Amino acid sequence: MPTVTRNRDCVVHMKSDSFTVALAPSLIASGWTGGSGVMWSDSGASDKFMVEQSDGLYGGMLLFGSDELSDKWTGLSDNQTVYSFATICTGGWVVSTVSFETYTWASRQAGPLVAITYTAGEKLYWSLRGLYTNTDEWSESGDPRAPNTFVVGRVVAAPSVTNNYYLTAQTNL
Amino acid sequence: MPIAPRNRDCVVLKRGESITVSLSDGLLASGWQGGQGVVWTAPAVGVDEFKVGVSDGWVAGLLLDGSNESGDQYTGLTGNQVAYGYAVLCYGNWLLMTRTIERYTWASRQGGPLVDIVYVESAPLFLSLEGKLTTEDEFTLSGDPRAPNTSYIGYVCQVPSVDNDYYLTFQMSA
Repeated sequence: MPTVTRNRDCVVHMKSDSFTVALAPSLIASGWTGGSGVMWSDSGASDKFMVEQSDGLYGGMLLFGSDELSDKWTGLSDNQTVYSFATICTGGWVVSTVSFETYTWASRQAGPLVAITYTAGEKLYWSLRGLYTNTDEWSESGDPRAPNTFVVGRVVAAPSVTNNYYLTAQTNL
Repeated sequence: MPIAPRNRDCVVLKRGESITVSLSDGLLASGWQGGQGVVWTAPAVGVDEFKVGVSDGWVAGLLLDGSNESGDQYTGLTGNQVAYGYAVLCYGNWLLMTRTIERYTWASRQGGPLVDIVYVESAPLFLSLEGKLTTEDEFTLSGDPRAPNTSYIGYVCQVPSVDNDYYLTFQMSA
């Protein structure tokens, strides 16, 4: 039975470093879930530290989602997308998050969907869409940057009914 | 002559991140020294907790305090971690001195005679197959299918010698 309250996309068990960053227009347009991976992005002529959705590289993860249920009817509603800023998490956090790949990269291309099995202790990477995964999607997709050696953390606890199907991760960002 | 008091298995010079974790049955049965390397392991079915077991090369971090250190005797900490099944996990960026290290090479530990590992400042550190600090990649040496071990845990700051009570000082980056 879950004993930890998991009421957001990304629930913090241990804090580490954090920073405020500007958001790329593409990220604002698409939205994101809390715990999503982001990478540094060119901010053009402005002197801002800007991030966009990760495609396997990392800068860190965004703590809060762009449109979380818990933020509704509060001062945080749409706050990040309106002001184009968010909190990036770097260093060693321990979090439970919904922002992870549920199905393998190959099965997401053509189906039928095959669930990824996560195991405590194994390495985590960002997927091509900035979600935690335990596989190297650069190699699987034939990306010329393969193999992806950017390890972003470790599995603390695999998703299960016991933890509301959240992935618990120790980050190394 | 040593000038820093080294009165525990693992002495902290600079703190990094830490979190309280549940301990595996194996770890509780065997006991451990401060500075023991551990790895995340699956909790019991139906239990929502974060559990670690003895590392065999992978890294979650190090346990700060040993299970039965002389510095804890006759205090409220005596047997505390083992009784409750919890301990403090260190990860992130620490500067630590510890004697929980491999003294001899993996090869010489298999059949002897024992050969000292020569630690060198700035050398990268791994966890051994027994979860102790070493400069050797024991995945590769032992033919482990997970080789090579790319899970660095830190770098040597000061090598063990008579001048530091044979403690290894290292910068943890895990």
